[in-house]
Order: sequence, then C-alpha cells, then structure tokens
Amino acid sequence: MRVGEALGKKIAVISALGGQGSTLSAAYLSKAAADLGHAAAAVDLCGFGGTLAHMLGVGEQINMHIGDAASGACELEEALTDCGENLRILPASAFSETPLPPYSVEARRVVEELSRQGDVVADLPSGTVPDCGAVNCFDVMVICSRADKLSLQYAAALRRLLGRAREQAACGCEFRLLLTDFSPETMRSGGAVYAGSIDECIDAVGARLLGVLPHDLSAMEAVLSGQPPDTGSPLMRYARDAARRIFGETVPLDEKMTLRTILRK
Amino acid sequence: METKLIFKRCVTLVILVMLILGVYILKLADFQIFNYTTYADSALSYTASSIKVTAARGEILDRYGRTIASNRMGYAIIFQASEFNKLKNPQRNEIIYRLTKIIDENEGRNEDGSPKWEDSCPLVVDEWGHVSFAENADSAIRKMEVMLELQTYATPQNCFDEMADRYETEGLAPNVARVIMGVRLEMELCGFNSSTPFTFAGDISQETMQVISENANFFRGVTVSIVPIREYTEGTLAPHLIGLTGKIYAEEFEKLRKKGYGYNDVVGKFGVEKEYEDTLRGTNGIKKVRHDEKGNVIYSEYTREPKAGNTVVLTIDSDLQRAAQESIENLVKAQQAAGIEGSGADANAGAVVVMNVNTFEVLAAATYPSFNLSTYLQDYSDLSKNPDNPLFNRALSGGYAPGSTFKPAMALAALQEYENTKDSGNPIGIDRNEQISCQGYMILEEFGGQRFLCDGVHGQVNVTKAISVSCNIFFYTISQRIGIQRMNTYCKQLGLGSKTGVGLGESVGILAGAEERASRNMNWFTGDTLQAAIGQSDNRFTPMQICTYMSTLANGGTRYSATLVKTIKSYDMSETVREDAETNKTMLAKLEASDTMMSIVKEGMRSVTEDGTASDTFENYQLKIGGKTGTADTNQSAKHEDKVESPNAVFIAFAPYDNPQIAVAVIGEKCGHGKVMAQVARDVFDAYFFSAKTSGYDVLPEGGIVTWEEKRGS
Repeated sequence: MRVGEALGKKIAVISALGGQGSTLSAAYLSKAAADLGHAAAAVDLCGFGGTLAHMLGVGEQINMHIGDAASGACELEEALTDCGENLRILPASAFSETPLPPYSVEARRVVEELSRQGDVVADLPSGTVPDCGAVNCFDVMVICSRADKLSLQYAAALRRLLGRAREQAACGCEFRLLLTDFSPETMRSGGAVYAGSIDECIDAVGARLLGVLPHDLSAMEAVLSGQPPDTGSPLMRYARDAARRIFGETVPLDEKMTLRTILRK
Repeated sequence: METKLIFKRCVTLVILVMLILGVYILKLADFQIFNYTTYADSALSYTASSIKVTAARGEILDRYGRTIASNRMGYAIIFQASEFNKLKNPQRNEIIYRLTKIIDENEGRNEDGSPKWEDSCPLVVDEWGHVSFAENADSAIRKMEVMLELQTYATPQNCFDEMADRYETEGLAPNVARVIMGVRLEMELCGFNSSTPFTFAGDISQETMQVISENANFFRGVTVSIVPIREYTEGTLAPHLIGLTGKIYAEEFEKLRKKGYGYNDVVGKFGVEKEYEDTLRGTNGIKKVRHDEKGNVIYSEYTREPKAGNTVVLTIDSDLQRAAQESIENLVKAQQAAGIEGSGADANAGAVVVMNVNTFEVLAAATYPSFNLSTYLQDYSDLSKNPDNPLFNRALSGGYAPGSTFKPAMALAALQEYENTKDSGNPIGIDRNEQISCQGYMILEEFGGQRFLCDGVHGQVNVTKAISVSCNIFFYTISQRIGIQRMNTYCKQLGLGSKTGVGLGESVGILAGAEERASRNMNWFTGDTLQAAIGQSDNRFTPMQICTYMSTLANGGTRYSATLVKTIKSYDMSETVREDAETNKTMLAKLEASDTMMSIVKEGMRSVTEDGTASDTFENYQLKIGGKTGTADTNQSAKHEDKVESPNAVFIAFAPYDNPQIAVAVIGEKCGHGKVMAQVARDVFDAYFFSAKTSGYDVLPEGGIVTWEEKRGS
C-alpha cells in the first residue's frame, strides 16, 4: 500500500444459516452501492459456485475467477467481469476446481487490492465463522437474518463468535444486522415462530440495525432466473437505503417497516 | 589571445556544470523513476517499528454458554517509543502535560482523587511546592529509588530533583513538573521502548479519543488504539468465584516476568481469573507499523497475530447461582428483621453450594455478604473494613461445625459396622431395628456424672427416627459403640476434612479426632467423641465439603473431584482444549457401605422433610426431598457481653429423593435453628426443577456455525 492511497469501504455479508438471503443481499447491496455512484466490486468468497454472478445477471459471462487471480494465473483485472455501470464482480471458483478458502490470506489480499479501486461487497459462506484475520480485513460485517426466532438465535450466536474474533483481532470492524425477507404482516401474525418486533430482533442479535429487505417475490424470481437486480423493485429501494447507511448517511426506516408500532400482544 | 583563453575557460566551466547537473538529473531519475519502489520502501521501512499487541483475554461463560466475563472494545491512549523518543525532552513533557489536562477535563478523577492515567510516583507536591512521600507507599518509594539509582535514605526532594534533572522539567512549576515526572517515571518502570508500548490511559471516552485523534499532528508518538477491556456481564454474579484481573504488583513482577509478562500487563488476581490465568491469558502478537514523516500510522501488518486466550466454560448455572444468592441474602435479612435474640437476631452471613450429585459439577456457590466486581476497585476500601468480611469466599473457604447434618454420616458408619461385625459374636454399631431410649439427657459416669443433653425427650428411637428428629442421645450412644477411628474412616470416604478438588484456594477443613488433636499437642477424650458424633467438637468443614458429602451419599457412595470448570474451548469456540467435566471426572473415593445401609440413612433424611425437623418447609412440596437440619453452637454461643449469640444454622438436602440429581448445602452464620435454612434449599430446588432454564436467544444452537474447513469437509 502506498502512502496517500484512498481505500474503499470493505463490506462483508454473512449469515449464520443457509437460506437467510445473504447472497441476494450481497448482490443488491453491491448494485445499490454502484447506483449511488460508488465504484464497487462484488466478490464471491463462498468458496465455489457462481451464485453471486448469476444473481447479478452475468452468470454466463464468467471466464476467470478469484482463484485464478489469487494464484497469479491471471491478473486481478482479467478476473473481474462488468455488471453494468460502476459495478464489477469477482466470481468464486467453478465447482470442478479447488476453491479458494474464503478466510485465507490470499482471499484477504484480493479484497485489499480491490479496495484500492473502490468499495468491496464480499459474500461470505453462510454458517461459517470468520477468523480474526478475516474480521480484521473488513470495515463492516452485515449479518443477514430472517426475523423468525430460530434464525435470530443463530444470528445471535454468529454475532457472539464474530465478537470474539474481533476482540482477538483488536480491530474496529462494525457489525450490522440486516433483516431479510421481511414482512410486517408475517411478524404480526407469526405467533411463537417470529420475533414480536424489530426491537426484539436487534436485542436478540446484539447488533445495530442496518436495514430491512422486504419480502419481494418478483425480485427474487428475477435474480434466480439469472436477470440482474431490478433497480425499480422495492427490494432495491430498501437495499439502497441500507447502502446509504453503510456510507454514513442517516436514513430513517420506512414507516411501513417501523415495527415499534406493531409490537405483538 | 586572452579572449580565446577566456572563451576556452568558459566552455570548460559550462561543460563541468553540465556534467554535474547531468549526474544529479540521472540520480534524480534513479530515485523517482528507475528504482522508485526500492527507495520508497526503504524510506518507509526507515520509520517502521514492531509493537506488541495485547491478546484478548479468554472469556468466562456459564454452563449454558452465557457470558459472565468477556471483553469489550475500548479506546486506550498508547505511547509508541519509535516516534515519541525521537522528540526532545521539552516536547515530550509538553505532550504529556497536555494529555493529562485533556484526560482530567474529559474523564475526571477517580473517587480517591487519583488521576485516570498511569502514575504510581509516590511523591506529593503541596500548594507551596513542598515535596513529600505519599503515605503507605513504601514499595513504590523503593521502586522509584532503584529506578533513579538513589540511596534508600534519599529525601523526597532528592528524588524530585533527580527526576527534574533526568526529565528536564527544571523551570516548570513544581505541580506541573510532578505530573510530568509521574508519567515519565511510569514509562521507565514499564520498560517503555520501541517494542514495548506504554499504555498511558485505558478505556477512555469517545470524546477524548476524538480530541486526541484530531490533534494527532501535535501528539507525536501517541496513538489511540482499540483494545480489549475486561467486562463482567453481571458484576454481582458469583464474584468470589469469578475473580478479577488487575495490574501486576511490584512483588509479583519478578516471578511473572519469567513467564513473559510486561509490567503493563494485567493478570488474574483471585477466583477463576487467577486460577486459570495461564489458560485465559493468550499470547501477545507483534505488529509492524509504518509511520509517515509526521508520525501518522500509514500501514500496519501483523508479523505475529495475537492469539487470544481460551474460553473457560464454568459448571455454574447463572440462573441457579442468582437464585441461591438472592435466597441466602433474603434469609439472613429476614432473620435479622425477626430479631429473636439467640435465634437469628445477630445473623450476618451465609453460604450455599449446589452440586450435581453424579458429576460433582458445582452448579452454584453463593456467599453472603458479597460485592460487585464492576465496582470492586471503588468499593475496596469499604469492603475491606466491613466486619462481616464480604470479600471472604465462605462457600469454599469458610470452616463451619456441621452440627446435626453430620448425623447421617454417623448413622451410616454405625449401621455398616454392625453389618460387618454382626456374625462375629461381638457386633459393634447398631442394627437398623434397634431402638435406643432418649430421656432428654444422658450421664457419663466416667466424666464425673457430666450430663449430655438432647433437644427433646424422644423416647424409643431407631436409626431413621433418630435422623428424622435429630436425637442427640441416639448418636452419643452409637459413637460410644464404634469410636472415633471407625467414625472417621467413613467421614474421610465422604470427603469431610479433605479438599474437594474444586481449587480456588479452598480450605481443607478439620475432621475432629485424636490424630488432629495430636498435631496440636493436645489430648483426645471420650467426651470429645460424643461431641464429634453430633457435628461439634473440632469438626470444621467448608460448605463445599458438606455438599460433597451430601452428593456422595445421594449418588450411592462414589465421591468424585468437585469441579467448577465444565470445559475449556478455544477463544472462537471451534476447538476443545479440555474435555467436558462429565466425561473426564476423577473418582476420589468409594464409600465402603452397602446400598441397603445407604437406603436406610436416606430414608431417615426423607423423613426429616416429611415429618421431621424440616417438614414445615417441605410440606406438600412437589418433589420428594431427602434432607437434614443442623444447629451448630459456635465458640461464642454462650452469653457474650449480656447478649446471647445465635448458633450457626445448617441444612443439607438432595432431590429428587428417588433419583437424586442435585445436592444442596446451606450455612447461615448465627441464623439460629437449622430448619430455617431449609427455605434456601427449597428456593434452589424451585429454581432448578421448576423455572425456565434459559432465555431463548442466549443459548448457542446445536451444531450450525462451524469453520469453513469443517463446512467444506461435511
């Protein structure tokens, strides 16, 4: 690193369980950052498979991947694929190849290198706990969780483990909670399965709220079918709010989602 | 001709100048273009330094993974010698003085008026500039004299002048100089050098952090770092067990230095924090830091990552511990409030131990009065002067006569001895059906007709009835039959008078007997055997030992080493450093008594809670309980300055009666009759058997979150 070089924000997206929507969140957050005018790179650190690239609509265009860049088989620039204005993706290794361990020194170097060019949104493998080196590498770790009690229980456990890794690293990495697939109606009628309010979710996980991503079936169907994120969808609108909060703006929660008012009795 | 010569000279000069310029340009190109990287790195590495990074201390969790002691991230002001020592003394002094002013303004002072930065200099400067030594600071004075290479007879003024000369504070006001000297001396004492940073102040506010960060150009060599700060989730939860960390005392330092500690490090002072210091401590790391020409950190990289200490998972159940603490406190206060002279009006303290009878895991160990770990330093002066000694760990170190709770052990000894000798033609001990007559007293002719009393007139009693009504006459009689040696064989197997293995500085207790008396050059008399049989005489056991005895009896006669630590995990919980206590338990003794004899004793204990001395408390209780009350006279129980001192109250119990899971031992100092302590045991059973175990989100889910390697493997 040279003196005076500006660094982009290094954001990791993680969840304690599969199916919490962390890859979808990573795709939407990176796209939202690009929409806000930031030069952004989405990095798939899930080990192998091209889910993030698929969700950003460039699944068919992938030639090189993070393993090639890390091993020196190609230049970092060659491994990046454009996903529209301001956004590029560094995909994970193909299933047939040996994956790059997501918490390895090599992976951290790639993230550092990319952060010299702009902001980095990394999708980390769900249900795994990053070591202190990985936590040290990122500025913000976004913990994705649905609002059901079991998911929150896992998210709380992940938050505690991340806390330990952060203490080990003696770094200032910030942990933020992103509630995914969120629906006020479900929470209101969810009985014993769902948390009673956003406050309860925050208290359970013990991390500041970054935002809520609403249940948006059409947006989810679109990305799963390999189309890029729909910039006009409600999901993108909320992702943009979350991204703006990461970059230091004060953006109040949408009234519809302000569940302080819907405490279940 | 002359013009030609001048021209030639000019050309030569120009060529010479051009040549010199060419060399400079070439060199400049070498610096800036051809070998830029090499020179840039070389310039940067010139200001690089390696600094120590303190490893996070391992956490302490309860048996369900709930945090008891953890670390939070805080800000600390740290001096880096690589930059700070480049400055001249006046600059250093100015930086230090300004920092002290900022800390004073933003953070205030400690309650005793001491500053919130590191300063152990034992010099005091009064408003007229007179210098004197601080009171009670002999150790600090000696340390200062050694550091300044002064003789022991050096006066305060000699020390002050030496430091003024050493740190170039001459010309400054004495009180300003004293502030600077304090910090400079502390730096030297801490071995401040390029590889050992000096922590000037820890856990500063965000406001202070911002002021210092914004003026980083002035505060050269000073960084605000994020450091782990020890935090106790609930400072009043088991403080005697958990313990505390603190700065290393001068007298500890020599020994700890050999283990790699720095003077600035923290170390466990008592409790689990001290006992498991080596486990909790971790290994410090080394960070290579590069500074720009202004001293700003521009790059940092670990050359050795700090390895956090291991996490100690205790056997304690936080909920149960809290319930036990509250219950013993309430009971002692209730006895005081009732104000019955000679029966609890002077109650002042107590202890409760709860144990799993099958694993000997300690589930709770409460002591009252107690203290708060979070405010320990501020409260210490008051705590140390309190006559009830709240700092004393009564549960593990208090020695108490067990009173009648000793009787089940006696009953077992007598029953088993009869079983062993009944076919010999000269049986000793007692048959389960034999009845002994209680007239309320018995007279020992060999003691000149001395009367040994009972609490009532019980008539004909067999062994179960004797336990149920706590008949002294019965136990006097059987002790005469079997003698102190045989009594103590069983007591030793039950763990009375020996350490339980729980550690934390537990006391060994005293098992009364001729051997123990002989060790004090005193004689043992027959009358002592009678007193010992009802849990008096020299018998002194800790609540932990009494609970161990109860657990051994309840589980069918196997005594394991008591443990407070369930398992030890790596800091991130991914590796098990020490196996679970349940699978790793150590057997200490096997009781040489048959199941039948133990059943008879336990039957007597069940009768205690159903129609005996503790039946008031357990009448219609949802569980069948085995228990025994004890009322133990203290040495001062006789009339004392016109006041009757109350006896100690003791209660032991196990539950459920048919399938024992936990045992409880309760002691109340000067609480009156043992039956009052049964309420504490009942509260513990309520909390253990009938309360919701844990609050949902706190519990680590089964499986789920693993390391990447484990996930890939699966």
